[in-house]
Amino acid sequence: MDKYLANPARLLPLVVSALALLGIWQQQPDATDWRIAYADPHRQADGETAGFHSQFVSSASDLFVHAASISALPDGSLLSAWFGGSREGGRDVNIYGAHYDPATARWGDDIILASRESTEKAVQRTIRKLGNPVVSQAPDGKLWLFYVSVSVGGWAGSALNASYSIDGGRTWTAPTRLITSPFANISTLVKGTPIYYRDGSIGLPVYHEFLGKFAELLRLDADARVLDKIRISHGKHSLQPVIVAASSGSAVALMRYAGAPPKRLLASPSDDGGKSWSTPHKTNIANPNSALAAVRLENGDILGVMNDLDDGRHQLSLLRSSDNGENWRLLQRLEGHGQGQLQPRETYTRQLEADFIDSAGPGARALWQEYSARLDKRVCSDDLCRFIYDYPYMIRSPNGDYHIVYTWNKSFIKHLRFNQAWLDTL
Amino acid sequence: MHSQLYAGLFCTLLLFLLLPVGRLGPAARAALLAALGLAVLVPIEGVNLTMRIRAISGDLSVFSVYWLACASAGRFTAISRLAPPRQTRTAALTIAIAALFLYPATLGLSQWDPYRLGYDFYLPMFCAALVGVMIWTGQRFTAMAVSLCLAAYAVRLLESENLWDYLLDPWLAGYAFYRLVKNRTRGTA
Repeated sequence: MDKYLANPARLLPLVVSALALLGIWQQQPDATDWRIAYADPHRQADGETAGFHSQFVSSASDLFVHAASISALPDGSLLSAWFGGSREGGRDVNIYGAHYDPATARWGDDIILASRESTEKAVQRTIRKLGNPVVSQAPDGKLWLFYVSVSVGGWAGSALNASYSIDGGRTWTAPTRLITSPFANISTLVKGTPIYYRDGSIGLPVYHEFLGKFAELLRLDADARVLDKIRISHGKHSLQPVIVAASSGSAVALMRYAGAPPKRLLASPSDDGGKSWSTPHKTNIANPNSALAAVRLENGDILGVMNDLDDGRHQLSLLRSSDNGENWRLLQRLEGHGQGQLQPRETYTRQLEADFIDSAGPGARALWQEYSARLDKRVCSDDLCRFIYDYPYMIRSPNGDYHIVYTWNKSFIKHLRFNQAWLDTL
Repeated sequence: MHSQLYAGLFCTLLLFLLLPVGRLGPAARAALLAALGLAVLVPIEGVNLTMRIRAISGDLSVFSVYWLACASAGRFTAISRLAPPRQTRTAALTIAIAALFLYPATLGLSQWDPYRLGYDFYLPMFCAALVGVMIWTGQRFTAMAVSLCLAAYAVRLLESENLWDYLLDPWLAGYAFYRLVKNRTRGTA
């Protein structure tokens, strides 16, 4: 003790620690509220006629586009976001968006929501590529945009960025970097729809791809500061979680499976609002290591969109589960051609043209001419081409309509809109 | 802004320690340090050196920066005053134990994620206790480093909301293991 009295400076670290501890304690958030802000799905008005509509969201014919998301805005419009550029991972990739006007039932022009340069400037790090944007309207009025950026390496080197808009996506705050991993903050990606908690905080489903492949739920406060993160799975085989809440306490996380055959969709339920998750297990539906989307129906069933295949992404289906994702019944084949094998360019182009005009409307002949002249490595290798429909994202808007967006042959983002009356016919 | 300045600081220190300064006197070394401090922040076509280094390294922990600062100070004066080898060995051992505890599980090996502890109040309390033990055992270097980590966390000097990011980073962990292996090799040679 004498040596400390003789030289009190030796106790400086302890004094610093005590003061710091006091400051940290004062900043500790209140006890976490794990009740999901769950609202029963809207019931569509009786007597409504069945409606199903499809069209393209994106309009550029020469870009590789991928990983679309969509959000309903308070004024009844929609905003979709995706990434696009000359190739996946290219330095010219931007985060694009487009607004849907319910009055005209048309998507507006593609606009850049975030670029590599704007992200670099905001987060003060060099950025190599951008990806996976998720747009989501929070109950407090903020429209969030979460997206991935990579400074070094492949997607396993991803980090998350967050910005928000309070004017329906016309202007955005400078993105902030979310620190979510102790390993140089690499390997956190986003794909699924956020959930919101009663205390205003955000539950963002994320996944990791560095060494392992596993899913987590990031808990963010209303300003997107990280409060906590909860592991949904661990190991090397599960990613891209989609969280489907059934009440304020119960939810299930459905996940893409990246392991050995049999390839099946993974499910992990939670009965405490996402505070803990049971060990993921294989369901009875095939999953060819591809992303899915899902929403809860008013009777508790789950409506899902996925590639219900053992291999490939040449078929996209709408399915329904009445047992929390264990078993699925096919409702409608949304896209599908052949067995996924490569096809000669001529045959492929004929089928593609019919699909394109069906999706974009007869008025899009000029766009088709432009696009078909550029059928390139996005879908073709030499003179063999393949159909690819993947990365679906689904929401239900406040008016009760269902909206699905997905990547159409790596070339366009396609939007499907239908109502409950249409769904009831299946 | 403060996280950018912090990144500028650790980039400056890193470069200062990497450059050979053998024939330079203290004044020239100080001038070099100041010049590096400016150079890492000068943008060329909108991108400065700090942005390039930070993109690869991530933000270094406060523990790392304290160590770098002590090592840099050692280029002006006797290093033993701030970071005597025996004390830095203890720091390396502490860091290595923490890294073994944190990284394997955090990278997906288990359902339990020790990184979560960094959002709780328990980890700061543990660190404060560790500071007490380090003072008691005469390990001033580790005590000072951990207390500065706690202080930096209290004011959220970095972008992270997690105390682990103030205490530890993979580069520090790698250096700690290197030091331990090097000491071991020397000890058995």
